[in-house]
Amino acid sequence: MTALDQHATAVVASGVTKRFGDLIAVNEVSLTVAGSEVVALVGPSGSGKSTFLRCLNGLEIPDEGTIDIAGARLDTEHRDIHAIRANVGMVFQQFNLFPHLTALENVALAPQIVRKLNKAQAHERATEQLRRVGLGDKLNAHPAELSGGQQQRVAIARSLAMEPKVMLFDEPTSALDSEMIGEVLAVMRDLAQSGMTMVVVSHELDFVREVASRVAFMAGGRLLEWGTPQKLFDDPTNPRAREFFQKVL
Amino acid sequence: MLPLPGGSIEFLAKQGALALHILKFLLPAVPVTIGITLASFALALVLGCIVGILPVFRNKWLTGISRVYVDTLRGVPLLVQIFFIYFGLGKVLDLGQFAAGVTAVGICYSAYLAEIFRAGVLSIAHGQHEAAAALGMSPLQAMRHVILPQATRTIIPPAANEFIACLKDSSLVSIIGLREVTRAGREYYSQFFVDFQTWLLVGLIYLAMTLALTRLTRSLERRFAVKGFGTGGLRH
Ligand SMILES: Nc1ncnc2c1ncn2[C@@H]1O[C@H](COP(=O)(O)OP(=O)(O)OP(=O)(O)O)[C@@H](O)[C@H]1O
Ligand SMILES: [Mg+2]
Repeated sequence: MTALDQHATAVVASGVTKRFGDLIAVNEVSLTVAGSEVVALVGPSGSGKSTFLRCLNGLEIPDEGTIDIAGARLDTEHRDIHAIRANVGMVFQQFNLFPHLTALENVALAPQIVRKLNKAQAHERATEQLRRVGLGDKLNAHPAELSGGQQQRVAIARSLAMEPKVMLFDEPTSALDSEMIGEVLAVMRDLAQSGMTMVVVSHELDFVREVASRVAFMAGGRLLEWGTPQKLFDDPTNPRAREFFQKVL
Repeated sequence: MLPLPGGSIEFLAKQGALALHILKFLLPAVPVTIGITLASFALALVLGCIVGILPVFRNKWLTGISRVYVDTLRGVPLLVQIFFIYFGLGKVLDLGQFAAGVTAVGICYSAYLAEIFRAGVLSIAHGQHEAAAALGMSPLQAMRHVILPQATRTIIPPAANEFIACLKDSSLVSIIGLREVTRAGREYYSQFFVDFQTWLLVGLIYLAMTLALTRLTRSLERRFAVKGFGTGGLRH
C-alpha cells in the first residue's frame, strides 16, 4: 500500500514546473501532504508560492509534472477539472466574495449549483458553516457590509460548504488590518484541529510554528528546504533559508 | 388674457382636426413598430450575449468567431443588411416581411450588444472568475450565477441606448413594405399631401416611445444595483 492509498485525501505533487514566458515561476517542485496534515509554504515575495498553490487546484496548469489531489490526477489533459476543484477549497488573499450575494447566498451558491443540493439543503449547510466561523448573525449581510476579517471568514465558510478534502490558503490574512488577523487565524486553527488537510501560504510564522506539521521554504521557484517548523525556523540548512528566517523571525 | 387675433380659433380647430385625422392613420402602425423593436431586440440580446461571452472561454476559435461576427456586422449599413436578408436570403428561405425585418435588425444589433456584453464581463474583477472556478463551477455556471449578475449593472445603460437606437432604426424596415409608423407617415403624405404636420406627429410618436423606454430602463438599473457599488446617481 502506497502513501497515497492510505490517505486518499492527501496531495502528491511531483516535478511541478510552471513557466510564464521565459520566467520559470515554479521549478520542479515536489511535495507530499498526508491526510489531516497542515503544510505551510513560506519564502520571499515572487518565489512562486502562489503559483504553486494555484497549480494544486488547476487554476494554473503546470507545464511539467503531475499532481494527485483529493483522490484524482490533475494533469494538462484533465477534462474533469471542475469536479476536482469542487473537492479542493481555496481561500484567497483578497477574499473574492461575490458582492451581489448575501453571506448566506455566497456560501450556498456552489453547493446548490455544483453539488446540486436543493435550496433549503444548501441554505441549511451554509448557515451551519457560517455559524462555525462565528458569523451566524451576519447571514443576510452583503460583503460590502462586512469587515475584512468577517469577509475572509465568509470566504472560508464558502469553501467549507463544499465539504472539500483539502483546503488551500493563499496568504489569507495579508490583506487584513492587524486587529482582524486573529479572528481568521482562530478559524483556521479550529479547522486544522478538526483534521482538515491544509496547504497554507502565510507570513504569520507564529501561527505556522503552532499549527503546521511541516514547512516548505521556496525561493526563486524552487523548493529549497523542508521540515518541521522548529527545524526550519531555528536551524535551517539551506543558506537562503537561513538568511530569510534570520530576517523575518 | 391676450385676445386671439381674428380667425385663430378656426385655425386651431382646423389644426386639431387635422392632427386627429393624422393620428388615426398613424396609431394603428404603432404596435407594428413596437413589435418589430421588441422582437428584434430580444433576438439581439440572445445572440449578443452568446457572441459577447465567447471570448471568456479562451479558445482561439471561439474568440475568432466572435470577432469576425462583430466586425462584419458592424461594418455593413443596416439598410444594406435589410436588403440582403429580405431580397437576398429571403427569396431562398421564403422569409416574410416581418421575419426578414426582425432578423436583419436583430442580427445587426446583436453585434453592438456583443461588444457591450464583452465589456461588461471584462469589467468584473478576475478574482470573481477564479473564486467561481475554485468552487468547481464550470465557466457557464460562473457566467450565469457570478459574472453576468454583476455585469448587468454595467451592461444596462449602454444596452438601453441600443434599445432606443433599435426602436428608431426599426423605421428602416419600412423600405421592405412593413407598415410601421414611418411607413404609415409616408402613406398619409402620399394620400393627403400634408407634410409638416405628418412628420411632426411621426416624430412625436417616436419621442413618446423612446421616453417611455428611458423610464423603463432607469427602473431596471435600480433593480440591478449591487449593494456597495453605488447606483450611479440613482436612488435605491
Ligand atoms: N499570471 C502571471 N503572468 C506572468 N507572471 C506571473 C504570473 N503570476 C505570477 N507571475 C510571476 O511568477 C513569479 C512567482 O509569483 P508568485 O505570485 O507565485 O510568487 P509568491 O511567492 O506568491 O509571491 P508573494 O509572496 O509576493 O505573493 C513572480 O515573478 C511573478 O511575477
Ligand atoms: Mg503570493
